[in-house]
Amino acid sequence: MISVVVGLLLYSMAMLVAAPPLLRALTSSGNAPRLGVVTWLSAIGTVVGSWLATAVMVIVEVISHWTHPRTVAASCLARLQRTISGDAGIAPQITLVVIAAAFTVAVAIIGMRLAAAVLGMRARAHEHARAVRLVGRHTGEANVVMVEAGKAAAYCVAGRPPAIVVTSAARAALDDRQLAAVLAHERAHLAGHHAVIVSALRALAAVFPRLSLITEGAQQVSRLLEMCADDVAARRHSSRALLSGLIALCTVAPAEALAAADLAVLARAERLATPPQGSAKVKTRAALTSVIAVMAAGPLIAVADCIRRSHVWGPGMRADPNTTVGLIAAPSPSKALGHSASGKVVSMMMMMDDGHWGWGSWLLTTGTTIVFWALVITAVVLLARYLLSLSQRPTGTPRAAGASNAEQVLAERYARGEIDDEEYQRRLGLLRQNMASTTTT
Amino acid sequence: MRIRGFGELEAVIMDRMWSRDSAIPTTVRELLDELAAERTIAYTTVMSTMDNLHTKGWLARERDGKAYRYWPTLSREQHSARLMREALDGGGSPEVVLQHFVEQIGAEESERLRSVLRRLAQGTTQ
Repeated sequence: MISVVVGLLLYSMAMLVAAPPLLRALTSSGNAPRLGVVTWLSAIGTVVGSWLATAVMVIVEVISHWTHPRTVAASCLARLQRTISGDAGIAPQITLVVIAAAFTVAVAIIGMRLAAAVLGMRARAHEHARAVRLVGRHTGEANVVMVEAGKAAAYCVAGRPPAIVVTSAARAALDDRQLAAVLAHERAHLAGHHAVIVSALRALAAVFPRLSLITEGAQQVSRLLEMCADDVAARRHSSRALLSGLIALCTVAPAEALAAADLAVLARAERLATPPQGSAKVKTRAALTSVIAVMAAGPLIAVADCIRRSHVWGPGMRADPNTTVGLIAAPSPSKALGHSASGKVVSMMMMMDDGHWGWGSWLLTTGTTIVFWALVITAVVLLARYLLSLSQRPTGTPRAAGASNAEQVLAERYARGEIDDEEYQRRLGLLRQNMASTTTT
Repeated sequence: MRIRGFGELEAVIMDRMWSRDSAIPTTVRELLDELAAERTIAYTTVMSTMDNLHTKGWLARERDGKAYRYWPTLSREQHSARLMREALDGGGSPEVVLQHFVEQIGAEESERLRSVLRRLAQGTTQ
């Protein structure tokens, strides 16, 4: 049981460290937005799931050993408690009560805060949808209402029934074709229940504001969901209609609007202007699929590894409650590095320590395990990307991709205001010339 | 015109209430007479809907003999302005989850963005 808990915790720590930068790199292109959403959600889901499993197992363990406080887990916990407080006088049962109560309360509080956040968002959205229906003028189309407003905006809000709101200024800015594409985009959000995903992630981000995996995940998933909706709308109408709708609505964007620059719109526009190549899509999909596979297998491998380890060293350690604490710290990255070697290192450390496991060595082994998992995930991603880029090199796409990358960088610098109109034009012209000459030769 | 669901009847009633002179409060009977010209509808349906709108804060009322007289608490424009503030300015502190077609951005950013977008559009037409 302890091994399982340790395995899950180590997995989740490795994910918190390694996942955000990797997933950001893999999903930023928007080549496979749906799979990108799945990847972020499974990363967050497995981490939250392993915490929940951990908490439940600790509570179950404590309760099941209630009548025998001198058993392995109890002694182990008591020993831990002694290590922290330096006080051996407290009865094990009090420690157990405190630990079980702390975990139960923590799970309950987090669960309640999540539920409150989700339900609150849902209630506000439904209220907004209802109010908009009362205030707005109904158009011929189902669920589409027009609201008088000077600001151009189009959005959808979940509710029973949901509503798609187009302001009068937006209606005036769009022609019929563009409006149809914009409405298809919003309908795709409603049909895909994107609001549910976004609210769940925002609630998690509000409860765990310091975990970049979750806060960044919430942002990236919203961005990817926009691209998913773009794809649906572009398929149903045309990417030209959608792109010109995007431009029309940006053009009438209010002068006094707030918030920081969000280049997500630019990324979406670029995707619509030059849809991702088939090969690039395949490449991203393969990379994302392998990441999902690693994340799905991760907790299982981590747990199996720890259980195996506890069997290897188990008997001797179980006999002595003092060294059982060592079990918690024992798992180390052995899969790829050869476990006999790392096993020796660990047992040597234990001997030096005379069975008394210090926090320093605990941190050391935990740290190496996190690094190990980070390396495994990175290796899989890099391998997938490398293999795919190898298979595509002969077709000449990397060069074209390089050229469009350069234009993207240029556009971003321009959008950030680092270069002015003239310089942007000049550099773009040069880049295009350069690309034309390399493709003709 | 058929009414689909309760929400739609609420919308129809609010529409009527806003188009009436708000200085003269309306009874359920008066509104029913107006509505009955276009559709078959029961008195109790209109009454319960208006009562509902009152509890939700859309209509105010005062007793006049045996019946109530209703009038809108806010004008349609005031409600629109409130909803658009909620939707476009991020509203108050508790946000509403909305999927905007284009996120609201700053004036300077949107100016830069526009030029880049225009160029992208030109790129696709060429």
